[in-house]
Amino acid sequence: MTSEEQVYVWSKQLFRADDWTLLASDPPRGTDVPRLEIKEPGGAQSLTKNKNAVINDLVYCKDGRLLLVECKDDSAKTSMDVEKLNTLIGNRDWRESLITAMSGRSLFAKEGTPTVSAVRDGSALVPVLAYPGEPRPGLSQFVQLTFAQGESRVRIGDEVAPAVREGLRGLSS
Amino acid sequence: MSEYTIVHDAIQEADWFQNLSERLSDADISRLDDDAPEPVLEIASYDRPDIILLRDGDPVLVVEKTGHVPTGKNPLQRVARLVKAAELGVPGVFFVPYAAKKHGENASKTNLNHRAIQALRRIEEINETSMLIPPWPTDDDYELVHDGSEDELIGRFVEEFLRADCDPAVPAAEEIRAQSEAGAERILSEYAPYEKPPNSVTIQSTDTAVSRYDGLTGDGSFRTDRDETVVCDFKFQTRRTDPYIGSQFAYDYLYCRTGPTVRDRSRNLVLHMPKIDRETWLDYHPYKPGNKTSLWYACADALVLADDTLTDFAQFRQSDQGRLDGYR
Repeated sequence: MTSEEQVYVWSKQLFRADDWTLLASDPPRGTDVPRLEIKEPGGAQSLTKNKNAVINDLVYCKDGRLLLVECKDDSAKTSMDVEKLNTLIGNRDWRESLITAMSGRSLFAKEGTPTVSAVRDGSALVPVLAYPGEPRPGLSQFVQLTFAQGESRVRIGDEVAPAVREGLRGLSS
Repeated sequence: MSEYTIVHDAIQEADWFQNLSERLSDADISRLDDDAPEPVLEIASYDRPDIILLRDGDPVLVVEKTGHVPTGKNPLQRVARLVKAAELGVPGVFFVPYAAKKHGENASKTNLNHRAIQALRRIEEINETSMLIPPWPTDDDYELVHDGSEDELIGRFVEEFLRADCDPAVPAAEEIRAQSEAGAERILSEYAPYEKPPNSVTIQSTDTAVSRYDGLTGDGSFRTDRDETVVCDFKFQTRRTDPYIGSQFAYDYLYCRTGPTVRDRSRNLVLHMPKIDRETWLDYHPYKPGNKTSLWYACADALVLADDTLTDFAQFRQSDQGRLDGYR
């Protein structure tokens, strides 16, 4: 069985090959670059293992796009991540919290990061799921990275904006 | 088949390390687990380092990497992961920020605990084995650089090290030492108390220690003919390992050690846990080889508890299997 750690590393290798800039990470174990802790706005509801915060497994940027990546060892385990990413990207308060977290780590100064306004209106944000096996049906607003038999596959949902789709072309080539 | 094997504790660390040198591009990748070869298990017997590089099955380099804000005992705990490598004559590298931004309500620049640098210098000196501490660079806001440029110097070291038949005496090592020296001087200039033991560690006459703690006698490895005794006050109340269990190795090398084994000390090393009684201690921290809690019995000369003092540790050992006794 493919581990989440392995999916995490395969995902990193894919983004590295296409010159995406790694902004933050939260590997299943061990050390990587510092994580980005996005505090829940106002309330106390927990969406992740870290109470009152969302911490994406990987956060990448390039050409003004921000990819929020969640890795799993099984597609059946991605439902919570779909909910988490939908909430984070679709909710204005959460996006403000993301801006606060990125500002706190001086990430807007990094090359290729989106503008604050593009994070605020959500247009720069791209939800990504990575897992072994075949892509899930549906998930029209998501990018899915799947890994099977040593091959990676990038499936871009039908509702992902054309400009974003164009920016992700290098991942699938 | 490559002559190199990268043994890792977490696979992204192996991925990072492999990308430091083209010479490792076809290296085998292997997880550090119970089935690892004997030399690997021996290096990991105190604690698990992030990376153990093997050449033809023999360990040639051990690497510990952290991007955590390097304050308090955390970096000392990581130093301990390199101790066994040094004792076995395997060079070590500790890749760590010398200053980093602590986030949260009171965000501020925070320096690396200078005692971690000093402990590694002592470990290097006593074991005559290279211990390098390349700084993980930070930007003007003390955020860690992670655009790839942070790996330039350590990558150059790994490349030169491999090219030199795994000899750590290469130009990049000298550059690392120069940067390390400058970083250490800066830290000390900003916080001079690092030159002395922390408040939780006292150096007292052995006579004073013996009179202060009941049961501290010449049993086990505690020796009344050592003039001084180092007492580490660990005030936890429950089951604990890190960072304390690793810190004892750093304090040992900083304030006690004169040679490569725990018998080679100018001062006794005593751990004082005043908030735990004997029964609770032995329940929470069994001397069970293979269990990390057994490290509590691997380094110190005595453990002073709320109601008892443990000195002759062999009697508490629960199994004949395991390595720790070999090092006492």
